[in-house]
Amino acid sequence: MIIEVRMILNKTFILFYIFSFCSVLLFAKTNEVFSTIEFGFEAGSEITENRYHEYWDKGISINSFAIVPYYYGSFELGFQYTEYKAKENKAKDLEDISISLGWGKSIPIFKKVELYNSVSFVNHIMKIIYTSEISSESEISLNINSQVKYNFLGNYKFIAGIKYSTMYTFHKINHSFYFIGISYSINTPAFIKRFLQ
Amino acid sequence: MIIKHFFLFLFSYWMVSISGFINSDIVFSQIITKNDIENSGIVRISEVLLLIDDSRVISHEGFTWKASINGLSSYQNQNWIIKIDDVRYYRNLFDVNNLNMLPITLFDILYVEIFNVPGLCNSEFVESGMIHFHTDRSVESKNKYSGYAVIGSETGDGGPYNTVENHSSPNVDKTGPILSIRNKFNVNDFQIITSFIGHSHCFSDSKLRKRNEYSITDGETWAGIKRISPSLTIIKRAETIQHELNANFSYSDKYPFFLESLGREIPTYSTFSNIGYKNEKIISSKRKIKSSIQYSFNQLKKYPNIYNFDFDWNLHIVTSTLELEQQNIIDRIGVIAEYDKLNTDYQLHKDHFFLFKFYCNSRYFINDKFEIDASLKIVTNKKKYVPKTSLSQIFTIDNHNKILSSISYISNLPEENPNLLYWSKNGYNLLEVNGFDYIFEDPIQSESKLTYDLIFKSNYNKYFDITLNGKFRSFQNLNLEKQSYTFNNETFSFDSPTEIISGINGKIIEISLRLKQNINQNFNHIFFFSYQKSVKGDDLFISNWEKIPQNKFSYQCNLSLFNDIEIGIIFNYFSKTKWSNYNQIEGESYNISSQEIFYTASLKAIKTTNIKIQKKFLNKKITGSLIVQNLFDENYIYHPIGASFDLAYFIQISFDI
Repeated sequence: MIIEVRMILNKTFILFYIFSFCSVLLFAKTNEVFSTIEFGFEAGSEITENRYHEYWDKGISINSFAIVPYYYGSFELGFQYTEYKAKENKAKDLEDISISLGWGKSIPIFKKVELYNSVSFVNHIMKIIYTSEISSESEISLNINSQVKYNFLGNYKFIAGIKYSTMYTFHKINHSFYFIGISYSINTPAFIKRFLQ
Repeated sequence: MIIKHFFLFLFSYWMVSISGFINSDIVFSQIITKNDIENSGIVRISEVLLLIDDSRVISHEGFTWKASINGLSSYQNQNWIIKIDDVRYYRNLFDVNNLNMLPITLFDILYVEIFNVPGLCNSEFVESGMIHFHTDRSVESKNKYSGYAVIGSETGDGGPYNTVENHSSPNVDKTGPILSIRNKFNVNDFQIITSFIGHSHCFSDSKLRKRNEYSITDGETWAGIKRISPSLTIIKRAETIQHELNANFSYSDKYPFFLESLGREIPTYSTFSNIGYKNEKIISSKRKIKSSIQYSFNQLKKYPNIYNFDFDWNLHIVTSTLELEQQNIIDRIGVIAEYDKLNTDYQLHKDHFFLFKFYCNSRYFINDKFEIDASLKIVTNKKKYVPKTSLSQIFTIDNHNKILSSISYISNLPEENPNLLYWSKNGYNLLEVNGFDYIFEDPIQSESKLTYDLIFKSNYNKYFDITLNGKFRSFQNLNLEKQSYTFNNETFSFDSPTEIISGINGKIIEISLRLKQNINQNFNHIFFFSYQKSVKGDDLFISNWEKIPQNKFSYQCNLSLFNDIEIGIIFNYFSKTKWSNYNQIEGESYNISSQEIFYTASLKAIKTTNIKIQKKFLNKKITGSLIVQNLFDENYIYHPIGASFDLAYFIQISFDI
């Protein structure tokens, strides 16, 4: 019963998110579309443990991203590298390289502080390291990301955030990460803007 | 007797009403546009069947699909017609019509016409539906290249858990790719279109992989399908005449052909090829003559398999058509000659047959509000003549509302649906030689059906369309397969003798409702519901229709945003089904990732949601899309021993320059 309610809530949440995203875009307009690119670099580690961690230690990760403003909110493209060390004789070491595409929205909190929330669709390429060979797996996950950004100097921002991810394997794998990093914004070069538009 | 009188009535009514006909097109059809396809989140051409309003579908591996279109046939008798740019493609192989073996991809399609009410359409008498693909043949630019690539992955595999003991499951790193390139070259009066398609389809399902990996004996472990398909079309357009030459070829190695009578897939080399010529000549302002000749070759060759099973199937089909189209008493009249020959080492009593088909169609406007369309086709094998006839009326109530009705009576010769039963009767004893029981009565009876459709269409205003539909189908003398499968632990497959029961009768009724709302030019959505039930008939007929979902519900919403971003969401619901021929497999199980999963003959309802987000770049020359199929990761199967499908995602890139 609890599982069913949870599934219905999950579906309702996804649908609500999609419809809110679509409907606000119908009415939103701004001349800042694709005007800037914010590049970011973060590093972090997993926060909580679950069934997955019976076989692997908590992952250590580095993450980079690029964010461009859209009519409402922003589109983001991200790359993340994570390393999972296997517990002795229980599994194999893993290296996970992922690319993500998402949409998010910044909410100003104070003059130089903002809260940025996003959802992204992620493709993972996981290298499985055996003693004599390396094989790879391709998986997908859905990420929910929340960051606090502090504009401490010019175009530079300090970032602290958390990320929750669900990977759609036969036994679903959940990860929750904290990240700390820095970002820098530039005006979008004309040729990139033309391509995007 | 009643049927004969009915037919005589229809024929005499048709003869009386032909005076005063004028030419125009009545269609009881659904149009699926390129935009509908782009927004629907489908990636394979066979999935167009999911976009047909009133179709129920099954697929046991996601590559080969069967459809029941508008209640005109069950999953047996897959004799719906496939056409591309007015050329018929004979892809029916042992009652399987595989759209994925066509020489086009979704990206090539301009629009698709679905004819789902019996009647004469484009020289063909539609009995169980017709799917007509139209591709882009415009002549604006001299040289145009287009390409399409799609690659994805299905979730639900073990992922990193594959390295953990007892946690492994089928590993699918990618689904696809589907790659296609097409060139359209216009010079003077000539147009030359060339294309090439490469397509891979991997099995993601544990039981399907196990069954297929067991049967393949060439040492390969990968279980899936690969196919290539080159094609060439040359068109010469002049003032009053157009010539067209087309040639195409589809080849698949290790195609696991699933034959229901065998209860398993048999790996084969499968080939379909077509060569044809057609022309259209305008002979006056009111008359046009069309003629064509087509040669098709369908082949199933032996691939090394543990059963040593060899289809040894080489079917040659030659058809020739001559048609007169005119704005006169009879608007369309034509004749088709068809010759089928099967080459095989099985000892046939008869390896070929001829069919001659005569047809005509007319339309009559009684007044400005009431019009009638009548069509007739007579088919003969030189020994017996059978009719196919339909009578349709359109009553225009006012500018916004119409009532359409159509009644048809269709009788078939056994040669018109030359399936396994037909060729087995003529000595193609494929199953007996390989130790399978295949029992049938002799002679095979001619099947027939009576259909009635009543449709109310209303475009309440420019924002809102309603279509309400009521249908009745009566089937007579059907030849249906009867099996009772048991599970074979050694081969992971299913065994049963197949008995063909002839003279099966039954009736079905159906109601459906379609609502379309265009909120503004950037946003529209479509709601569809239909309920279908077999109301009377023999037990085998009723159990056969229990395999088809009684209820279908679909919702599609299309949204266009700024900067050429489009979002499409489609939801499909098919109610639960019951497969009584698999009753004995209840309780049998298989293991996947340390979990025991049970086979069942009662399939739960299917609920799927697809979402597609698409962005066009560089003045719409390049399009990139993200497609997610089965967004909520509902685990579902279409067939009791078929694959279960999980959430899958695809990246699609296309260009048109």
